[in-house]
Amino acid sequence: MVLERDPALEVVDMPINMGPQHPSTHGVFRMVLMINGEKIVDVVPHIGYMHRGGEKLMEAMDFRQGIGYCDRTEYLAQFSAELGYCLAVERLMDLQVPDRAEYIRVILTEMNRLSSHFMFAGAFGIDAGVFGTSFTYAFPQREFLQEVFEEVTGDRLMYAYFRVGGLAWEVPDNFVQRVHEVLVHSAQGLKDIDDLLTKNEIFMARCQNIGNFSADQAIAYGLSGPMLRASGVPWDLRKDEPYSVYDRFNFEIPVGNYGDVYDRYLIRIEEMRQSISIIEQALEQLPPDGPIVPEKMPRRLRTPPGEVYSKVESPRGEWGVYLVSKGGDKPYRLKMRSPSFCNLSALRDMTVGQYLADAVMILGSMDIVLCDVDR
Amino acid sequence: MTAQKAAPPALPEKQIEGAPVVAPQREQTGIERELERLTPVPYEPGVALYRQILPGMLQVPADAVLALSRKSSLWPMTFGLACCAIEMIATFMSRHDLDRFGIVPWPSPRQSDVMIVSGTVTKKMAPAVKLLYEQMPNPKWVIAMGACATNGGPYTRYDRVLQGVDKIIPVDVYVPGCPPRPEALIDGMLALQHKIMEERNK
Amino acid sequence: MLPEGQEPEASSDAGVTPEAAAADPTPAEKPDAAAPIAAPAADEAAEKPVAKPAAERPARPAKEVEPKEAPRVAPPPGSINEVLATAAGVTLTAAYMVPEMKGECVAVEVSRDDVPAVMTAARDDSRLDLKYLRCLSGVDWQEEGLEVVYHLWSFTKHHSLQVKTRVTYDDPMVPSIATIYPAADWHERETRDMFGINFAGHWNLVPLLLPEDMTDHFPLRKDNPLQEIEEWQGDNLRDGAGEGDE
Repeated sequence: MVLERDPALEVVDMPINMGPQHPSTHGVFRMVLMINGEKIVDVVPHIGYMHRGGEKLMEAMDFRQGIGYCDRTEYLAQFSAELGYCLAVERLMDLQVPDRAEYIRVILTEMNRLSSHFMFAGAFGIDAGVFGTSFTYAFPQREFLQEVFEEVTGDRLMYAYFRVGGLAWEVPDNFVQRVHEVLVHSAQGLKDIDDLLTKNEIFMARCQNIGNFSADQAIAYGLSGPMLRASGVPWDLRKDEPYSVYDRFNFEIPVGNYGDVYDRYLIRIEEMRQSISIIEQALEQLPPDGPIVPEKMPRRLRTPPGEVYSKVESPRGEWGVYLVSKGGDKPYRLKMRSPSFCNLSALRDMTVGQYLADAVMILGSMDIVLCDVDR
Repeated sequence: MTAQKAAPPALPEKQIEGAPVVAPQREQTGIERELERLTPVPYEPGVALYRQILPGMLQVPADAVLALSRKSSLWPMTFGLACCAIEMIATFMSRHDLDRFGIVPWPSPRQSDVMIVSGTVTKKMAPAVKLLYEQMPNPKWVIAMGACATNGGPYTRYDRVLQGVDKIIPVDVYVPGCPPRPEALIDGMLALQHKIMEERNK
Repeated sequence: MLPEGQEPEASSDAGVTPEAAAADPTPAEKPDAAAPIAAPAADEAAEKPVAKPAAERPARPAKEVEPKEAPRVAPPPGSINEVLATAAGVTLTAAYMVPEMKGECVAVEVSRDDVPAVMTAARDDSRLDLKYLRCLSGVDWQEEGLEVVYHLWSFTKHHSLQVKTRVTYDDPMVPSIATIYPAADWHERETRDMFGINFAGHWNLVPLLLPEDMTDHFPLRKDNPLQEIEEWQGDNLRDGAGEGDE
């Protein structure tokens, strides 16, 4: 018997628009997927729905005011963003930050990494189809961490606590004790999420072997952070180009084997354990008292003319600040090299050839922040 | 019974059986004030509520019933724009728990009542925001959350940013802050509930 | 040094800077009698650093006059700029050291036609091995034209390199390197949006961050100033607007 193909059942390419308002795009991101059956043939990402000119506005602000825009650009890893910006200005001004300020910076930055990765774990669980459970596991942990941030900085989300040269003000007296308390919660929350997702059979089947990226591809596309390490490149700026006081701690850099979505998830979970370890080491080494700003701090922040590219390891990857100064109290040009932007540019090559349902997982595994993409 | 029916009174008896002659002077509680506002029946303290309200129940205006039911189940569209979206999610989550007020996030505009504009609206995003607003069924309300949605906030001087979402859609409640705390958003939701009751017959 | 209830969220919050706190002892150290007069003026200047005209600042000692340009130090012999010049077969316009986070790195300036050759050599030459394009940014130098800066990094050799090229306003064209470094794809589209630099040979140079029909508006150029704050806001922000409350 010869089966005849019905021309009405021919599969044709069909465009599907996703976004800019879609619950799985983690913000206002739009992609137009061309699908053939369930296979993705082409992806056209559209960004810029949140382009609000942080770089332009920071050219009109002095160095202190720019810190607030760093917060609002990278609103899940505010301390990392502030740190990268402050390091750039400090390098140009040749300021030496006191030890105590450096340790407090490290503690807060790593706690921020925890809260950012909790957000990732919650949102990624929802992408994978865990109805809200992962989110309700992750968000109380974020609240515990945000409580400490609020006690220290006075705000829940936009901290503006790191200043050029040091910190804005001294931490509360019970800071060390509070961080210890919160770390207990975080470790428990991490275990909860680990138990919920990591060995879950459906979750593993959903994540493994999609969005694979080899090490060469990852380097060529300029990926950084967990995306790069999942592809097998053991590269972490905290270890390989240590800034601040990161060279004084012992921690491991987790590296993936396959470069797929599951590896990226595992690396973030392992990074959280390492962050807890770093915080505990930093709390032990934290000088009990001492200055938090340099002794010869100038009254006005003025940099000599010059340029510098500073970079920190934010939870999403390499957060770089290219600062060009012509002298004076304002940057002449300030480019924020955001990890989300560079990671997202690889979306097209990662998704083409995959199934439609996996596109959401691949996008979720990038852990993008849309304000960071569009700046 | 039959004798009473045979002689119908012109008006129902205002005097309720068993009511004390002199009402004790005390401050009204919240539910009492609300009932007094809703029902044309004068409130008589010291008597079981149902005995007072049931006779007047049919006289409650239908718009008040509708407004009461609307304000008790506000479904906001989950519409995260920028940094404020994180605080909006935090408000929905277990610590602050907007479900207490019957406010449940809903991911589609077709079934939602409230749009929380949480973040900066750029000129590129503005047509999409307007389209989403038009997709929502009436009655619908808008909460402008944060400084950016109110007037552009820290980004107001950049020319690709809309200086406030009220340039394109009508806004009912403005919540200040950058970003507003979850408590502030809850306060904004309660203010919207109050506004729905206030505007019930307009 | 900070009031307890101070709200640190706004970017323009005033007077809580560490520099102001650190500078508190300075009036006592000042030798002349101008200190009590200078201190409130300086506080006011710290509050409104942008709006304060330069003439009203307290006089500064002459030694703080800043140089107009950063001094250019030539790289030591044997640096990667020599390797790059021989590997790419081009002459570099300039080579100097720029500060990095720790130490310094080499920056080279090339003419725009040499960019693909330089980039190919930087990626493929085993002595350079700069496989990672960190960042690509545009800078508007006004009279001196537009500049494109490429930040390269080598995972194996652990050195970095900056490549710069200048173009004029009249002919803002740079050859695209998106085929050499795929990471440059979106960076080039963004730079075209923001500065109007056309990257010749790019496969898809449509606006990325700006709306797709907007091809003649370059926000980050210096001749494109920020908007003024609306008038009713300006009234509220002016001096003395809220005096009745206090």
